[in-house]
Amino acid sequence: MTLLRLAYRNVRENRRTYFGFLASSVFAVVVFYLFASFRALPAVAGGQYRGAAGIALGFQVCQYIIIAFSVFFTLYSNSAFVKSRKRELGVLALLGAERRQLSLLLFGESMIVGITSIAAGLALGGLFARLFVMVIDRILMSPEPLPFVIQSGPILTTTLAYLALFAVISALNIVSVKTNQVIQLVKAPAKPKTPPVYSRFRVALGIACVASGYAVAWTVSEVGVAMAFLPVTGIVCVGTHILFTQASVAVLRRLQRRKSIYYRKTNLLAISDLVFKMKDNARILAQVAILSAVVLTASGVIYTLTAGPAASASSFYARAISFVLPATDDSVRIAEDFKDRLTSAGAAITDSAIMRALQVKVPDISEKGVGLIVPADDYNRWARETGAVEARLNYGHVTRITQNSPNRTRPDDAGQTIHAVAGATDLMFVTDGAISAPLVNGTEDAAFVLVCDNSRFYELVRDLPAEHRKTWFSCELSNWMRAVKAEQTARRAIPKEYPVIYVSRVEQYSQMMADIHMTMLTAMFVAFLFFLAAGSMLYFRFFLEIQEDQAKYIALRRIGLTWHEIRRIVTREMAVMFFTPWVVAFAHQMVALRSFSTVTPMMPIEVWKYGAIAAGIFLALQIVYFLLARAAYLQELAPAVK
Amino acid sequence: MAVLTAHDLTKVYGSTRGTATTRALSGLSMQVDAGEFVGVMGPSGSGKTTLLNVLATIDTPTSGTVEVNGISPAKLRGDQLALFRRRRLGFVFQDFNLLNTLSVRENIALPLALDGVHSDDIERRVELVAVRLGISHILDKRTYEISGGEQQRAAIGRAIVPRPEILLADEPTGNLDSKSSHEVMQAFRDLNEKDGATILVVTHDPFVASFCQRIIFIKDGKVFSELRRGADGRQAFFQKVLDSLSLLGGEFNDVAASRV
Repeated sequence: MTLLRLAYRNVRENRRTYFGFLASSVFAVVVFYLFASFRALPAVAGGQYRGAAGIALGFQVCQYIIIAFSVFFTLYSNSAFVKSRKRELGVLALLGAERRQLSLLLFGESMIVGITSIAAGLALGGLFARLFVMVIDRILMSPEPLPFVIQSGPILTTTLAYLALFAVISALNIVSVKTNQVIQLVKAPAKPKTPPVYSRFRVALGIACVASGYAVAWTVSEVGVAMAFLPVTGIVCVGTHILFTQASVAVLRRLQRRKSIYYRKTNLLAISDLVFKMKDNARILAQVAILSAVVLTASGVIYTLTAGPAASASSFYARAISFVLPATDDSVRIAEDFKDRLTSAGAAITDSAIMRALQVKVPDISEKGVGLIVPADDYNRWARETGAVEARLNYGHVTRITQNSPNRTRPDDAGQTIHAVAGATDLMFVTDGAISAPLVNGTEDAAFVLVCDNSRFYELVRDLPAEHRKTWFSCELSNWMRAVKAEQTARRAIPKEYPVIYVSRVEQYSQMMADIHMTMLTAMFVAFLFFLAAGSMLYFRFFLEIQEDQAKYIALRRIGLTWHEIRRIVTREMAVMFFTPWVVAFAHQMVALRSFSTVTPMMPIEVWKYGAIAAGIFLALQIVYFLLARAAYLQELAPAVK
Repeated sequence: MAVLTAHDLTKVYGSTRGTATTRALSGLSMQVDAGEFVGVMGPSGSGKTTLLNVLATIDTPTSGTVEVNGISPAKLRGDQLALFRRRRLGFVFQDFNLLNTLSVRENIALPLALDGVHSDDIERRVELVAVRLGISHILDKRTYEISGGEQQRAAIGRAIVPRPEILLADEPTGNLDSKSSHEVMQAFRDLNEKDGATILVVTHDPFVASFCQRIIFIKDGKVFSELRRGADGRQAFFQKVLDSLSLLGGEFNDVAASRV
């Protein structure tokens, strides 16, 4: 039997123990690969919407964290394996295996696991990416397929990164096995654990790290966010690690001193055991907490981004739909028809206006843009309908309609003269200032809108060439976010040959959402994988110690511990292990989202709301995972103990 | 008054079809009265471990009955049985069976804590037991920081702190050197003589057995003979035990002359 064959045999025979390790490694590879592919996504890399650069940076940080998590996790689980198999190695050494052979054996074993998990991870990652594209295509019904394809770059990066990681870590573990002391290897498992200690200084340091990180994140201004991002994340990560290794022990030790709590029923066993379990798993738990915090924050950010476009679209486009037609015998009828079709196709019109208009240029307001002049009658009809300020104008006077701060006239430039140009004709008006009303849709159909008194307007209609006469339609919808279909139907009312200037918030929004939905789905998907990775890691940790626990519970059964009590102890220990990281992650998330809220137009409380939804979903999944893991663990324990 | 009564115990291991079966106990009856210190001796394979497991309610007999103060554990199920063990029986094992995640104090406190005794009561009772066993000074030590003899006395502490009706010990000195063995057996005798504790010790070591008041010798799953100490000193009783053993025959590998 060659060494490689022996290594293969060992892995196969220990596959139950290896399974959790393998599964976690596979998940790490999958997540890493997806992030690598995701970063190459045009929507992220190209920066098509606001905040894309921030998201790209965020994903880069995520990738670093995943690699860091993989290092810790692999290092840890690998050394745990070696430890649990020291006896076996001792026997091999006793039989005369050379140190070189043992090293090769261990190296071979971990490389088998490593290569298997890289292969499985890439296969699963590719499958997920493919599945993901299909889902998105189905949801968006996009005419062109998404560019989320399997690329060689991410595959190569992932393979190289993880091969190196597995190689380095298995080499490190081999060094830790001192085969020259056979007796130590053979007797290894009997070594008792010394009770964990903590230092007050380190606890204080951990608290200080997290607190200062929190303080900066809490108070940081919009400008400082990008600069503070990396240092704050770093210091909070360090603080979290210290808190899990030190403060967890400190808290449990304190509980142990409170005899009225410590001596209450199964607390004695659960707490004393948790001191060891928390300390042993502190690094893993801290990693899980940080991972979860990243995922929760990212989910919160993504949720917020989906809410953002609605607000920004509304502020940019004051009207749901507006268009300008050349004034003909038909143009008003076309606008009416458009409106009717919109209503019958299910759009809820809150207000609409069809106005006569003249297209002019005002170089003082806009160098190139073309604006509209509308008669006071038409404007005031709409103003009465919607409750906007009406225009009362003397002959030759105009007032400008702006979309800023609602219903407040701005008399700042009142009394000045405005020069307008209509073709070859120069026009002069006196301005009465401005009225603020949500009527002007961006700058595409009308760079500005001036309301003119009726008499002057009719004179101009008569005097100016016909090409300047327009019909201007605009409307607001209460269900504009979901009116894409209705709009497409209504648009057929405008004959193709009509030169129309058409502006639609409905259309703009649905395009923005298409990008963001993809990002959101990707993020949710990755969050789910993260969650699986974190869960399987904890599960694996628990199962690694099952034999020790089994022996302990058998001993306790003999002195009369009931199965019911054992279940209770297991449940509590597992609950602490599964949910402490969530609690810490939730706190991190809330603080991080507060910083994030400074770069959005939203209040922190609104961003928190979205964050809390993400955290809630995560918690629910975690509870399901916890219940499954607990059931599996108890089932494994039952035959020997019950 | 009988604390423990075993009647016509039979234990058959192996396939139920009866092809390759081992009869570990065959119609064994015995009784332990309140305040007695009884030893059970027998050669390897005589069924003494099976007997102890059955008496300890860890194992169930194929036929026959066990009663502890009139209660038959055979009628109890699952957790009830565990509670019965916890409250009425005390166990001392060859491997001590202490939890190394707990200090000596916590190990002794464990059964009381599980039973919901108030923390102040727990502290008081642990102290009392520790004084009785001479381990007060090591209460806050970890189990791996103390000697085997101290560990076994801590285990005895844990066994007696819930005030069980009978203390069952399985080769309590099997892992100890002669000095520690002496300490532990002395502790058992003190508990018996001063506190009136009822003790049953299973052993193959005549040195251990020589501390008992009465020894039941078993062979092939049956009671072979019985020996009472009467007015003899321990040394004289030890000689008698050796004589009985030679009559009993079988394997007694661990009899160490140095322990005389």
